Amino acid sequence: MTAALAVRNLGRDHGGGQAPALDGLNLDVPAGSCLALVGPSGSGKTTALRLVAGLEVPDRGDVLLDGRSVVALPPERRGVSMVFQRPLLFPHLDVLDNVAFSARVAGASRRAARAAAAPFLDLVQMGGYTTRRPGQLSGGQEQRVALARALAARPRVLLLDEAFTGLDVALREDMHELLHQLRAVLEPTVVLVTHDHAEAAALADSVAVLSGGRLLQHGDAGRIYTRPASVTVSRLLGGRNEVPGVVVGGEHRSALGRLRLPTDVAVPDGPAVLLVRQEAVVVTGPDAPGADAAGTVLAVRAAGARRALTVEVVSPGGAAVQVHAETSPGQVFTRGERVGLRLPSSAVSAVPPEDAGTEEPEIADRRTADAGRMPRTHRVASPAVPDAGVRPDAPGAPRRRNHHGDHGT
Amino acid sequence: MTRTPQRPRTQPGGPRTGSGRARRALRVPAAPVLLAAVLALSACAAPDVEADEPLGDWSQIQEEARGQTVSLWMWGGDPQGNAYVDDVLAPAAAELGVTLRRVPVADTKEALNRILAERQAGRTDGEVDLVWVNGENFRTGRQAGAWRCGWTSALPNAEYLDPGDPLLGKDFGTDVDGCEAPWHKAQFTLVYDSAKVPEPPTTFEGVLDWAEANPGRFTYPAPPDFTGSVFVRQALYSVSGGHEDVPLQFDQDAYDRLTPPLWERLRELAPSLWREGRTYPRDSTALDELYAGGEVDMTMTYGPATLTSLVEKGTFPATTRVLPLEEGTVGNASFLAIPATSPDPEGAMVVANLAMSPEQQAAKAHPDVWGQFTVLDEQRLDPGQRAAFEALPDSPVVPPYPVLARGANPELAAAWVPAIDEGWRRNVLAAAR
Amino acid sequence: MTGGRRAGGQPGGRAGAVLVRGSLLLWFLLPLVPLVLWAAAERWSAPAVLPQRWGTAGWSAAAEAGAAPAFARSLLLGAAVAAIATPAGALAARALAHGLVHRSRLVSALLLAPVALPPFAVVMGLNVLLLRARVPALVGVVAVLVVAALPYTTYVLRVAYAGYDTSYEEEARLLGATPRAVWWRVRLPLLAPALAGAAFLAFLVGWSDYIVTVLIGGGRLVTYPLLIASAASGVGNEAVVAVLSLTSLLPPLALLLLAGASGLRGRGGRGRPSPAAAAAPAREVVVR
Repeated sequence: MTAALAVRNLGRDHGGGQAPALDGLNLDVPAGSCLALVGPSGSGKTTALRLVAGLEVPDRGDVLLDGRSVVALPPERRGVSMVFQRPLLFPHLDVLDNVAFSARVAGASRRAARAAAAPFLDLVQMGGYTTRRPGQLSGGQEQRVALARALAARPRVLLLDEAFTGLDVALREDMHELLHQLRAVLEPTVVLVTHDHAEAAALADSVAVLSGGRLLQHGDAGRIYTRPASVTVSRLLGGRNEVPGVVVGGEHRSALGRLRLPTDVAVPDGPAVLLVRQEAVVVTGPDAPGADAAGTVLAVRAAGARRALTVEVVSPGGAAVQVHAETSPGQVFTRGERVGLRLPSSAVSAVPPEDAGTEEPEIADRRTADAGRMPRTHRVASPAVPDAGVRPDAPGAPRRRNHHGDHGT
Repeated sequence: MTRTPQRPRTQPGGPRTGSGRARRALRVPAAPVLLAAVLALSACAAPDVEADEPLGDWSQIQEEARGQTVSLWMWGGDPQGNAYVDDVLAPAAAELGVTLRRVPVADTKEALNRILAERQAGRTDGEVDLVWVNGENFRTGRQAGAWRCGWTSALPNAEYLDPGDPLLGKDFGTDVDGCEAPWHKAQFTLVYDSAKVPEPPTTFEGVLDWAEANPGRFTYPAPPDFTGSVFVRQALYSVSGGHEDVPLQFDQDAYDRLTPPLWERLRELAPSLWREGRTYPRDSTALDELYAGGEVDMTMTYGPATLTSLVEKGTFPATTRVLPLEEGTVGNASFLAIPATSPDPEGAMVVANLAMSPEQQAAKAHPDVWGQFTVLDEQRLDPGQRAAFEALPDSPVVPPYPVLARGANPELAAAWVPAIDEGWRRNVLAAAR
Repeated sequence: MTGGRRAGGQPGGRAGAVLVRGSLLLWFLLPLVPLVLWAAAERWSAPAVLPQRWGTAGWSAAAEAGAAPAFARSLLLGAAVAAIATPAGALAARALAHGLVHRSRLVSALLLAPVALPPFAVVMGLNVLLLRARVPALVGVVAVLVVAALPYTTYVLRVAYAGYDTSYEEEARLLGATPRAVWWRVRLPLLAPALAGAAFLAFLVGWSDYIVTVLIGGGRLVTYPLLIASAASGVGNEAVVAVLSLTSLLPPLALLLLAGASGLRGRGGRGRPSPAAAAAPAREVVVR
């Protein structure tokens, strides 16, 4: 039920002279791990999924399961299951027959198929609904059944195409929990597509960011927030802080002052944009020790239990920059208040600036066949980052390096 | 895809105007090949050749007929007739080796349409072998060459027919010419309730006078209903001084000359009719219902044989009687015709001959079987055969056919009918409003 | 048909709804009342409100006229027309709905044309063509009736195809179904209600046809409408006509009831919870 998925140079065109829907995608998903494809609409993530599933034929590239190319196989023979945004339960079958569909199609008798499907229904906690019809279920229930149906097909890879996007927040969290449980029990290889980076981070081991049909960055979930490869990636992941400045000798100098950059990334000297997650910025009193900068609160906005602050920092030279921060529940700030900001050095990163208007990084560096291969100006020490625990891609790293040489740049 | 069916001209008379041939170009989809094929198939004209090759003498014909299946297309609205054909005529034909198959149609026009389509397609193995036909349909078929002709003289039973019988020589004004064999006769008859009319009139004019003397107790169906239509034509005979004075063939001058007195007489009559002549019963059925309900004291019909059973059933009052007229009333005959496209003309001839035989004619004249009057001339029958006719039950209601049919007036040609119907509508019905 | 909800909020409220429904029912059933009375009457003349004499004369007359074999022949004809016109209509509808045809409007108009053409005139012309081409009578009848039924089947199925979601088929393929299995297990069941409706309409075309059967069939096929038309054209046959007319309603009604029942069963989206779910309210809270 679990296979390693690899995608090599996968590309598909829209036709008619438009930019391709997907171009040169290279990814590796180790068996049993979960990859999230994140990006805005039209970034090609659903296309990538459909190409993996076999619902569309790629114009370029290859799809490999456990090292064997499946691109010539029709979808029914690939061993890949997909759950769509809509549950798509067959209305003419009851719940258990829906889950048993794959067994029936494989030739089992109705009884045997239903018996084999029952455990999967229990797995998604819908065991008491076997004789119901899809029309009698709520949205969340239907999606659970859809999940059970996909799993009952015992796929080598499970694909989720925005499967939880249409559900309300509480339901979504239930489904996330369910997915965790399923992963613990069945250990499927999962690729999920979402436009919500938070969901991606919650569910996946590694996250691949796509935009405009191209892969911008592929890294493990925890790290990609703090080590975005570019301003675009940072924006796509919801990062709001971009401070232009200059890197000199491991320090970033800007209107905020001088900030020590983390040592795990080697940033060459020169102009660079400082990126820091707003969740990582600590807001303190204006004269608290350890504050890296001080500024005035421009705006306060409620964001759930937290507050989102916009703080304007003015450098001695007169340059001003805005920093967004999120406060812990209980802290109260008002407009015009002077506050201090602490930017932990482990949470900041610096990337080269991008021209206004270009959203994509340079073409030559968008292929990241191995997790962690960064654009030219950045080198990662190793694909397995120290601060994230066991990574699914770690064991495969050496192999991928070899392949990378084969495929060229 | 249904159309309102109309009765053929058999026992009820009124000939209708011919439908003509409705020919329509086909709509076809794009492919030119298909278009060309269709045009080739449908564009040819109908063959002119009359399929009248001689069929040999009678024994040869009978021999040929063995094993053939004859499809008889006849109007299916008379259950008694259907039962007669299925239960009496068909078994008799089977004894001669001919399988008789009845095809019910709602209107004889449909049989004619089928025959004409087969003619146009140049087929000689058509589906129609025998048609119960008269009047307008016969005339239309004749014009289109639909009927096989010249075969009736070969039938042995034709010797029982009276060659001078006007009802058999012309079919609603069209020469029969051996193109159809006689089968039934029908007689237009007035019927009255003797309890309400103690001293019945004896002439047609007398009937009209009686109606004027008894306002509201008489009416007639509105043309173009066939019974109403023939009533008006009977009135034309009466007003013109006898049927000999009206030319059988339609003639515009005769029409212009003879009809104004007719309209005048009917207009005079109108205020004394039921409902003051403002409205007329829609058809003979409606008139029968008025009579049965006692609203009028007289009715009229083409099929007096049914009167006996109607009285027995109690539909009509027990005192119902036929009203004979001194000058006689309109009578007609109906025939069996063989289409030119029939593949089994021998079998059809055998069946037509059988239908004309004294045994069959006597059988179907029995009111319980069908009640259709015979076409045979009783003088030409031998005593044994005549006995069968005399054995027919007497009815208190209906006098024996020879009495009933005495002095039968011939029917006018079909072309008169629409003219008279239209004239009545304009000059009598409209004038009353 | 899934997730059925009760249609509420009619103006006039519940009483108004009952009144409207009752009137509609009456509107449909009242014309049948004289037929029913006639079917059981032996004699019924004008002024009387009810037949003067009851009896089964109509039934025996109908049986004598050959009603049973004609009934069977009509059934076969209707079934043949439905069996051919439904797949043909499905193919046409699919092509039209999925934009596989170049001049779809023209093709649509052509497919709908048989409804607009006057039947008798067309049949006259077609008859000559069929006779020239030596098409056997029965084949000709079925062919012409299929063409007459095509507008109905195409239209019904076109609506169904337009609303048909191909994502179901993708899902099925991903669950391991070959294209053939997808057709058999997903497409056909999802289209079944529309197919049943189209087949019903096509059956009706074959069941109720008169002119084509007479003229093109050449009298070879004596079907129920032939008997009814013959009987109706005569006088005094009211009982037979009533019996034949009433019995001619039976197959369409039976088919309708069948289609309705299976449709209800198949969809199940009527909001009726199964006993298991009714007994598990606690789980509802968790599973939502």
